[in-house]
Amino acid sequence: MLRLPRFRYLRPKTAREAAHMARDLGPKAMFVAGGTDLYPKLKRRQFEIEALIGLDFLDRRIDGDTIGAGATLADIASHAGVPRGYGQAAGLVSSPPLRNAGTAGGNLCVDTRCNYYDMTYEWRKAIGFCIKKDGDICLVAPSSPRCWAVSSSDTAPMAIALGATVVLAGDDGEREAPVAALYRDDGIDYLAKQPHEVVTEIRMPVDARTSSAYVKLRRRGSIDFPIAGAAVALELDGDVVDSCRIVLSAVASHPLEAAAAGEFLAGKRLDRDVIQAAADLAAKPAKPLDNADLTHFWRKRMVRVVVEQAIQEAIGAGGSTVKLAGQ
Amino acid sequence: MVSKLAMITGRPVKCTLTREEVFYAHRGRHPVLMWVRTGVTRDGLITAMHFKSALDGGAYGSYGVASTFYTGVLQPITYDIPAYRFEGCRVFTNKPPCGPKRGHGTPQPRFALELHLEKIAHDLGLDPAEMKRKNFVKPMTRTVNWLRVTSCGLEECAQKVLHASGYGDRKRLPGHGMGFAISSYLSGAGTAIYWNDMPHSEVQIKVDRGGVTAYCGAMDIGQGSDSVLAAIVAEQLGLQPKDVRLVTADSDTTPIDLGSYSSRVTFMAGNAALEAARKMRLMLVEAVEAAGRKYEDVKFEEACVLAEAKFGTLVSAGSYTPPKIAGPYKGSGVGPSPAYSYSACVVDLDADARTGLVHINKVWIAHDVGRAINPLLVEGQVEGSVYMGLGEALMEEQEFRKGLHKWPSMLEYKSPTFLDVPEMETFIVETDDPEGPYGAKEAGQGPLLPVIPAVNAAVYDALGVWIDETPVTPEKIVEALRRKDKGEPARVGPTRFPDIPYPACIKVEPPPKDLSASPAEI
Repeated sequence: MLRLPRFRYLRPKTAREAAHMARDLGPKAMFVAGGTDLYPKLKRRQFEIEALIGLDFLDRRIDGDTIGAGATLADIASHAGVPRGYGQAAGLVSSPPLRNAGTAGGNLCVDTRCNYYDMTYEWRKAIGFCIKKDGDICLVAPSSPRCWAVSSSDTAPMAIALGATVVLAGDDGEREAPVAALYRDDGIDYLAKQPHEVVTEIRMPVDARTSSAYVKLRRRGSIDFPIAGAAVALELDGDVVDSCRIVLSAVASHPLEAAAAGEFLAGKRLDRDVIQAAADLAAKPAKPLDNADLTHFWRKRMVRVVVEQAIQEAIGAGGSTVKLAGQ
Repeated sequence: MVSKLAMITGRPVKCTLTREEVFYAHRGRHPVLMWVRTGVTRDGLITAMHFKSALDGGAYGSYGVASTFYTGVLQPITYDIPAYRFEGCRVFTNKPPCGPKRGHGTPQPRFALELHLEKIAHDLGLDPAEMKRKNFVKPMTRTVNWLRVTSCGLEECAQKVLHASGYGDRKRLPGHGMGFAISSYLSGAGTAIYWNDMPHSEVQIKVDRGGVTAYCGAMDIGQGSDSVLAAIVAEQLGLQPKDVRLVTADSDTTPIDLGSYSSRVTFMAGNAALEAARKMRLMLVEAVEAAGRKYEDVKFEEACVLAEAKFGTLVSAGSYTPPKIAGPYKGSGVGPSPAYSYSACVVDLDADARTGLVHINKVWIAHDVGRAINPLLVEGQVEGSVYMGLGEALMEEQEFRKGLHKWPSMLEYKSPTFLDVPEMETFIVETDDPEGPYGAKEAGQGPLLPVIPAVNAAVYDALGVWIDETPVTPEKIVEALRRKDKGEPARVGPTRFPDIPYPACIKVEPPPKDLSASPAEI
């Protein structure tokens, strides 16, 4: 049986207080919201901390274009007011019990994943610790100086595609930043925010002209993290694309924007060939490695498929014959 | 260890394992490399078969010797094979040890055999299902390796699933396929792992002023064996199962039962319960009739009073020892069972050529359980088998990387979730086995076996490529299609079988096929 380590649990009443605590304690403390990813990782000693700073003061309301960072993924998935793709992404995270606990803010900040890293302490010790925790080399790419753990948030790519921003509260005030600016292409330091800053709010421009969709690839219909995913948000002028953003999940250490594909689509009429060409372009920057489920060759091949499906889904065109697990 | 610790401490002791520890400490299914050569007539009748197996045993022996035999002995129990040669070996490797798992050494050869016969049928231009049916064993026969077939509902099972699924009239569309496979399993091993002449199961019944208590060592591990025991005793005495009090699985108070393994409990503990209940009924009937009345006409409580007054304390006991029917050769102890269950399955799926993704649409499965004492439990076992079979066919695989299990966790070692389970249609076939309690046979393991090869056969039906191993992953399908396009053999799977210095084969004369003819050697 894997047991939680001993830790102190702190309950600040405001984000400013939480940020203070975090600044004081430094790397000895972590924030916890839903805890669905954090607690299992504590059991596996992937995080070693002395204190958890609870974020249960966070607003859980979903109100117009503002989503409290404490809103659960289940609430987002069933809320009619959020952009469709964002609701889809939230609804495809893990399983119903975990969506009831997991939060909007937590899913944006969720740790990167790697199957050399998401294992028990004993397993990691036996195979040789990796650079992300306790070791000094990357076991996926031993000649590389960096960590290649995979960004595995479903909602982050969608939030970026939709041009969402986050409100970050520090101990000396608040600032607003694009969701895209929250991430760094690094498996270890994957978040670009200050460690003591708390995500308190997600601001999602709600525009009736924008249609969006998120398509997720995973082995099973439930529970699994993405092994490839595509978030698409586009504005149509009649049947011509005005603008389009495509962001991929689980193919890099950060949510990967396929900018070339988005630019390619602007001004184009969406037919089968155009969608396929865009999907080919979108798949180019994806570099899945051998650190997630199934082979990376196949996952790379599947990026095209999920992008195609997400574009079709966004414009409400069916026509896909492939049924992905759980969708 | 837990018992000893509880004795030392005088406190309850519980042993828990993490998922990772389970992978290292349990006995998982053996990966088996197999080689088959079969002689057939132009019409698809089997004339002879040569089967070789090599088992990856992991670090320890476990029941590996038995598992090795099991990879060879049950082929003739479904198909009439007039001449049969089997060679097997098991190798030790630096991995977690393997042993018996649902189907004990027989799902692997069943997989090979079913796919092998499919391929032969395609080569001969025959319908695979029809060719297999032509070779089915018949009830009340002996196989070439001296196994005794009593009841056999193979043909009825096949008819049920073929008819319900419309397999024969299926539309041939690219990307859509159906696969058919059959199997059989033992209702308990005829030779116990504990080598002695004593019974395998014993039951005692006590009737005490209207109260009935049955004592049995059988352990209900969730399969529902308690309900089966109660049903059998109640049926004999003319009661409802709820009227029977059970004391089970306590070696302090109950007589011996060898345990919940080998699909043996309904058959063996059931037969012991039946014998004990029959003896009790005889006493009750005798006492009632001595009073000038009929058993059917008196209340049970009254019958008990009469019997207790006549005989004193009312106890009876029954036991079951399987018949000694093993053939006259070394190694014949693995395979014989007092009865065999039979199953047939059709899987309907979509397989996408571009992505290799497989979506199971529906599974039809028929299981010859002899007699369903509790039909709901039988259906539960059959449907659970389909679930587990699909997991083995499509997902489960113990991979190793740098000498370690690659992903020993709940999340990363994939087995299906509820959302991955397709619609199922289950048929219970009853053949009334002459030796089973009320005709019952096993249901716990057999129905798993046909599901796996039926998936692979359906993938071939859909896309024209063979995945000759498990699991069938999308990347293997894509690779097989790539090879097909390049004109290479359209398959993914093992490409060679090593030269193994097997010992010389023991030659055995086959027994008389007809069960009523008694072989001189027995």
